[in-house]
Amino acid sequence: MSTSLVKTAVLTCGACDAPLPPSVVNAPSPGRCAQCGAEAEAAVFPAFFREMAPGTSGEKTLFDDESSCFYHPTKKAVVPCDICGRFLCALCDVDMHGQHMCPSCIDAGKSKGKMEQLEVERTRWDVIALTLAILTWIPPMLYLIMFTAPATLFIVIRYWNTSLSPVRPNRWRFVVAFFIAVCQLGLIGLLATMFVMEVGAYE
Amino acid sequence: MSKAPVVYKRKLPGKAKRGFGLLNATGQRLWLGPDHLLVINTLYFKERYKRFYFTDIQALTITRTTAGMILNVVFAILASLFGIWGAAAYFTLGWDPVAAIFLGIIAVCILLGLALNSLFGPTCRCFMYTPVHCEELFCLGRLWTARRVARDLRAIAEAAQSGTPDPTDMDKLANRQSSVQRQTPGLAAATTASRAAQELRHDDGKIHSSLFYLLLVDAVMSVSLLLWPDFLPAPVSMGFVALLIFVTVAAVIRQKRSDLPRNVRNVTWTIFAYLCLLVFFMYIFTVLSEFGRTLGEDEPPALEGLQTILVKVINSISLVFDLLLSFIGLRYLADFRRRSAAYEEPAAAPPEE
Repeated sequence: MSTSLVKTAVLTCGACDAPLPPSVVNAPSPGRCAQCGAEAEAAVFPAFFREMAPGTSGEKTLFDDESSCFYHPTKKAVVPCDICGRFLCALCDVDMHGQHMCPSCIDAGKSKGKMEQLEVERTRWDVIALTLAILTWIPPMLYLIMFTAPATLFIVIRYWNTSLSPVRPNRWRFVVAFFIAVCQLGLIGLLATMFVMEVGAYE
Repeated sequence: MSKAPVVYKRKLPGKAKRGFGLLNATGQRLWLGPDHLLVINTLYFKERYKRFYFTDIQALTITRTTAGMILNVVFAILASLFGIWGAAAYFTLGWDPVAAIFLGIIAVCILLGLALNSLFGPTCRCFMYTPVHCEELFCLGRLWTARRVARDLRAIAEAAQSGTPDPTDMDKLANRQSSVQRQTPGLAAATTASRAAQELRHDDGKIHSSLFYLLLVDAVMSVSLLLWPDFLPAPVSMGFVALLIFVTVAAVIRQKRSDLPRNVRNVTWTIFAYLCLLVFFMYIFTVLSEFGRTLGEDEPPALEGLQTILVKVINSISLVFDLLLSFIGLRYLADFRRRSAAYEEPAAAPPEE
């Protein structure tokens, strides 16, 4: 492990942004910020002292028969892409947990949602469906059931197979929303039938 | 290309929403993955993920804040005001017990909030450092929870980074922290570090000082209205509240991406919350007045008593909060100006030939 301190950042107080005194770093009990007097503590790990590896730009090819990068023909190929097999230079090679990949394969994997590690955002359709189903039981929203119940059913059916939250990826919200929506539709049907029968009896 | 989905087996404690989940309902949760910490930021129906690999986590800092204590003081003031007026209405002024019960229920609800806030423990701010940035973990807003998570993360990060930092490294870090502290004298250190870390616009806090002085004027008006209820016509006091809201919104917008210290910004947000509360009470009062007017001669004495008490409660709350917030705000602003002056001084000196 390198012992040089290369980073320029300092540990600062969360209350006043002033640099924290050394006495609070990895101390058994909390200390005080010298600036604002707030109780502060800091835990520093070995990564704090690790030097960042310098970036590589790719070596240029010297001979005509040397393998070159698919994306940069003037750069020397160092590794093939594990997905598509294209030769890559040091600049294009992306190491994803031991797997060498080219930028286009990463892009394709990200857009298709096949690489969970690159996914940064998801819409929770199960939460939307359940909220929509429950919201209409609030009295002022009750008359919206005829619109929300079909909408809930549509969301449940359309997005049943979409990726849920990466944590606790179960579909109970979809199931509950589905049953509530079916009950709501049944209620609408019952009311409509009663109305028709009432009108028929009146006539 | 597709790999087996990562299984997150353990959720770390801490779940919080910014701004009480009202305007900006951003929630945050932490989950432990096999080799990384997953930070999930939730905004309504969208989840945004950030993955911090254990080998990249450099440090965690926890700073105790006074937000919880301030909230307790606010709760205590509100509860005592409602309680005192309720008791006064029933025992001293001999008004209808309905009004006293109504105020008593509000006081008990506020006391419940106070008890819950005390039960959760002191508040704090927690930051996680990586080689390229510093992330605030706002879900760890309570000190006890933050310490528990820090203890767990420390064990995991040290296992992933194979060991604890060398004593020589720690000495270097201590020297660095000390030298940064010494580089800039006294109060200027905070401003210098803050400005160096982020490119912020300088704000002299004129709008904020106007807001704090307007609050003082409002306090004077509240005293007048408590002593002489017909001192000011309703449109004038309502217009003044509208002006306060306008200046507060302007201050909130102005302080965004500015170098105003966090305590001044927090006071402005507290004023904003207090004004929302005030408008809510004024709304209830208007609804009660209109209801009483529709009843005409049949208006029950309890309703009339409730209106009178509500006016006094609103004015009492105004008085206490106006004085408290304006004095705190002016004091913080004066500190900031003194600090800014200390920071600007060397730059203002003419260069030596």
